[in-house]
Amino acid sequence: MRCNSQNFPAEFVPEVTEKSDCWNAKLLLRTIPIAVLIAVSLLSSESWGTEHRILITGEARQKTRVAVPGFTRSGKPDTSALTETLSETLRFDLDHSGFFTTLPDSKQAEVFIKADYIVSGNDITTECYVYEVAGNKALFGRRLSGRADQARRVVHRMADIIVKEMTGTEGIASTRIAFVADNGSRNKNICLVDYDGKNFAELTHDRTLSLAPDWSPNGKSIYYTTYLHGYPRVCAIELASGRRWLVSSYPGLNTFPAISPRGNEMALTLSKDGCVEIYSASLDGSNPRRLTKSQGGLASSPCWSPNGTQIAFVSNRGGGAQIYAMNTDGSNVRRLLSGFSYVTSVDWSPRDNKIAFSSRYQGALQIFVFDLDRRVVKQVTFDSASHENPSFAPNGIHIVYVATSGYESDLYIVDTGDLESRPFRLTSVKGSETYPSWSPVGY
Amino acid sequence: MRTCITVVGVAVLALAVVVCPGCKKKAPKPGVPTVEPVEPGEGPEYALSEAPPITDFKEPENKEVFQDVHFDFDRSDVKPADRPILEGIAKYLKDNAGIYLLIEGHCDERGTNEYNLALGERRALNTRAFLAGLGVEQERMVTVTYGEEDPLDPGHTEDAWAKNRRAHFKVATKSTESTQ
Repeated sequence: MRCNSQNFPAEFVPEVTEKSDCWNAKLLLRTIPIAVLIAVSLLSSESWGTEHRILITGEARQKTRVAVPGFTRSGKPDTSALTETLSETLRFDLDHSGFFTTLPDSKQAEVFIKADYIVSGNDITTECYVYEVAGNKALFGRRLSGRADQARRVVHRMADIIVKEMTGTEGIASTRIAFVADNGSRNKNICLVDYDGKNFAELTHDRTLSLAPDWSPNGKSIYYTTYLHGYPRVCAIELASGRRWLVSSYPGLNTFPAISPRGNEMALTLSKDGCVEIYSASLDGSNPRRLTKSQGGLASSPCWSPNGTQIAFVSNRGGGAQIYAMNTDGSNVRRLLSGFSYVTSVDWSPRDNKIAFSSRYQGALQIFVFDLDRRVVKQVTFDSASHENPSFAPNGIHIVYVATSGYESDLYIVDTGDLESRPFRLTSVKGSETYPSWSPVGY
Repeated sequence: MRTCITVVGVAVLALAVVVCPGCKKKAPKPGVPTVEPVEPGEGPEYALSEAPPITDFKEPENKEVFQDVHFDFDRSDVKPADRPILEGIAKYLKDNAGIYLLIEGHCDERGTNEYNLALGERRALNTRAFLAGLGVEQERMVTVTYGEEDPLDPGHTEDAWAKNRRAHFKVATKSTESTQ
């Protein structure tokens, strides 16, 4: 009954078999901005930095054309289901990395990937060799082993290595997404799925509401809000063991746990003192310290900047919902945006000085990415559905979000650096899915 | 791989035997697949057994007293029009010393789930503060937010949204210091 899936790294022995030449990563990052600046917001408010430009159209990233004929088995062509699965997985991973377009053969390709695997006993060993088509020059090769019943994970890891080698960017193929699903009922459970929509699993089954999952920085635990016993309280689950423990159970609301990047403290929303405010606390929920004073309004949904020095949050202290940032001791509060209405769902990129948020725009909730350094806001969703709750992938490029139309809410992933690429739907489980949270690391 | 994840799931399901007494209305509808309860002892010890002091709040019998109060969109201030309802509730609580009040804050489906969770709590807190201003002891009132997770009317109309932006009341008779 014991599952070793969480011990993957120990059983998974990456081995470099060849590294004849390293690709120049910069060659592959040929971003072509075709964006048009159409509006300049001059509304300034409380303090620095609410000026920004709105970027309506996106930008396209030119993709490297890579031929992936598919895996061979023990050096020979093979049409078994396992071979098909491995080939499909590698193609999906590269196509959704943001940097590659896969092709079946090398006629139009710039790069060619030769992939082979062998199965021996319970183990699978995969090998990938990457060639530059022009000149038929070998760039690098890798051999990775893992458990045969986790073959897709081995390929995901291989895809991440290829992405990293060729672009310098961390891949996302080994990541997962936690979210909330209702399975068509009034109960909501914390669920987990691979970034490609496979391996759906329910983590809770409490016949009540479980909401707002957030990962520990090491990816080993998920903190969330549960209505078990009738009141919203924060608890945590350790993925490897299934062990759960109560984190915060103060009177009133306990929700939106956000663990600091260093993993040594948390921010969360409490109402124990008669108002809805953000507190910092120890990881076990003790020593809560109030950070916000919202003057009869509310402050909620904290998220940390990647360097751990700032906390962004949502508050209606100025009337409507807007996003603010503050130092981690609650000082230096400032509003981040102006000219946007009903701004909620803030998430800070784990890699860049960018935040994603949801705002009512031309009649629908749309998702935007705000580059805090360039002072540019870019719209990343466009259709008439209601879009909310963006969560950045660890590469800081992709986001997962909720799109609601009618009675159904579904999760989608979009490449925010290449809006020519279409969002893809993450899951097709019954009912509605909400509150996505992208894992900070691969597994 | 699939099997392995399923095993994790089963281990977690072993924890899922505690049913929340305060959430009886959340019980699954007939025909909705649910997981059979697992005997205690099969999984790691369930660590969430520490229950809040009162969980057995029920729908009040005096529906005419405990009517919902309503809110404008994205607002949490109690409307003057609802003052008579709250005065009636305050009077009832003063006349019945053993009654405790649960104030549920709800929102309509517009807006984001996470913001509405906070807004629902703000509505419940403002309602509690209003009742406290009418002389009800704070200790007799507990708040809970459901955000937009538990609409009264599942429709997508202005009428449905107006009904859903509400504070709803439940009552309990506190006979002992602790019920759980």
